[in-house]
Amino acid sequence: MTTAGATIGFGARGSLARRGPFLGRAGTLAAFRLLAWTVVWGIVLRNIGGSVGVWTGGSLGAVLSLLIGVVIPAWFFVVFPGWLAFRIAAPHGMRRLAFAACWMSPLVRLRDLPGIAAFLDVAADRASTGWADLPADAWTALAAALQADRRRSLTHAAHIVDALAHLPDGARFPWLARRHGVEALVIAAVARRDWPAAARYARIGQGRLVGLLALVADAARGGVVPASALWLRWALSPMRRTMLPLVRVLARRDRIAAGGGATVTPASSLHARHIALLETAARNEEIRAEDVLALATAWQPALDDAALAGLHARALELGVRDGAARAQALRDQVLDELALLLARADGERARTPAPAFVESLVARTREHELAHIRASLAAFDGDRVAPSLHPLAAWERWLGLRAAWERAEQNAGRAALATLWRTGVRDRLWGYCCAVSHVHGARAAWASYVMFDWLADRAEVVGDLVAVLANRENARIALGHLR
Amino acid sequence: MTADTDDVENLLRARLENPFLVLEVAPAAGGAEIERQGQRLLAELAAGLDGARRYPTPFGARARTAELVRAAIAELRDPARRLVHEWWAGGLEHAR
Repeated sequence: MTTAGATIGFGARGSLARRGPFLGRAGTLAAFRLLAWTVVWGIVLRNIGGSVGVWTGGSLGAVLSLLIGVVIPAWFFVVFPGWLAFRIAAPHGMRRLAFAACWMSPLVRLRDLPGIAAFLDVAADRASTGWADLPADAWTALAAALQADRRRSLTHAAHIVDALAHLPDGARFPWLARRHGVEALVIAAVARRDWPAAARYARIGQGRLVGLLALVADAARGGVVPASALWLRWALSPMRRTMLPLVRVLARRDRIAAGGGATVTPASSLHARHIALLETAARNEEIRAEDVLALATAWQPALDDAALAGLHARALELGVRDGAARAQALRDQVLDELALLLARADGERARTPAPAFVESLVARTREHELAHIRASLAAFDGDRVAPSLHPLAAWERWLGLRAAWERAEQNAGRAALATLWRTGVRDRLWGYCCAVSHVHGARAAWASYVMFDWLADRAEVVGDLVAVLANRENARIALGHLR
Repeated sequence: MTADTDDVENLLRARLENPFLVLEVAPAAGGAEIERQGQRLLAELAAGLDGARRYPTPFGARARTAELVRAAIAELRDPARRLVHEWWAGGLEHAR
């Protein structure tokens, strides 16, 4: 193990807040922002209170006084700027107003503003200026996911969303990002009727519209969603006019399903089941490992020696040379396709003895996954991490390896992973994460924290105590720069 | 991982563009029947007949083009390839 990156230092490019003799630029901006809030909301509150007081002449009861004097101003101060930014300004292309509203929102941290601006640009399909100087954070990650989704890089978008769904404690995923950032992602998927993607994205979101869209995606995928629940969500959700046709169709479908009991004809033959699974995977929908293994078990008698002998006989009839080899190649082809499916499937396989065909499949999948991890390690060269590699791009590169590793955890077994960890992954990835931290400093703190924490967790799984301690320490340092 | 998605899509396309499905002939069909059906479909496509533009599969109808028909005829002229397509089409026949 190398010790070069045992602990990282952010000192060279320390956080903005620590620069300068007293407050620093960030501190000055924060102080100015606080002053602006105080002045603006002070004036608004005074005018509301004064006007209402004069208008009512002291005739209001306690409840109404509290409503007008406390609840409404609090809503104006806390919720209104975000609502204005994301519901009014951004959808109508008023970028500056949206940015100003975010600046006025107490729900938005000053350091999140550049990321929000970039997200709004991406959401509006505009070129984002100054992307190279942005930090990696939840907002820029959501912007990258939205871009990937629009490019139809659905696997990449799914990797980002999955990483956001499993952020370690302390890695910020702001409430507004969960609400409005995720909303844009879910809407993009719903607009093209990609219900599996919509359901996947909605899992990391919050808010009434995300809740409605999740329900819609569930209903559209055949889930049992009562029409009353759908209508209730719709009634409470924003964008009611836009959502009405979709909700109406799904609510009717629900009634038809309840009354008629129509069922979908299941794909009956083995070949059809196989293609049905391919179709599910091609739609980027989740497939279960147990389904793939059940299919493999069913394939066994159709591809055993007797079946291959029958195929060989048919090859002779057709005048095919090397008929036996052709039959064997067909068996291997099916096995390869099943391995591809199993590599994409979710859920762990049962550790019980399985038929030979299934064992071959699992072994092939394991080899495929381990080879994939080995091949992808080439991209993680710490010496080649340059300032031109944006911290978010570095994080996105890591997402591919993370996904491959976590898939391998389901099939490869602890021993194989421990070997792979000690013979390449640990040092390579560790060096890479340290290089990203050193090169980008605080801009990469969020991404570094997530990556170091993941490394520490993986080290724990394979029993590498030294790597656990070093990566936990690195994660702790990175976390310190996030606060 | 994106390559994996592309792989799956290519596999699915290959399975659903099985020449026997494209030409709508039985897996046991002889060479002459396959050629005749192929030429008939090409003529119908050239004439712009609606019925020729789509072919049924157990997973719904798919678009049929003249290129697809020509490729299907060519595939089935090769006995080794025909063996594979026949095996897949034979299995799918039960699902239809």
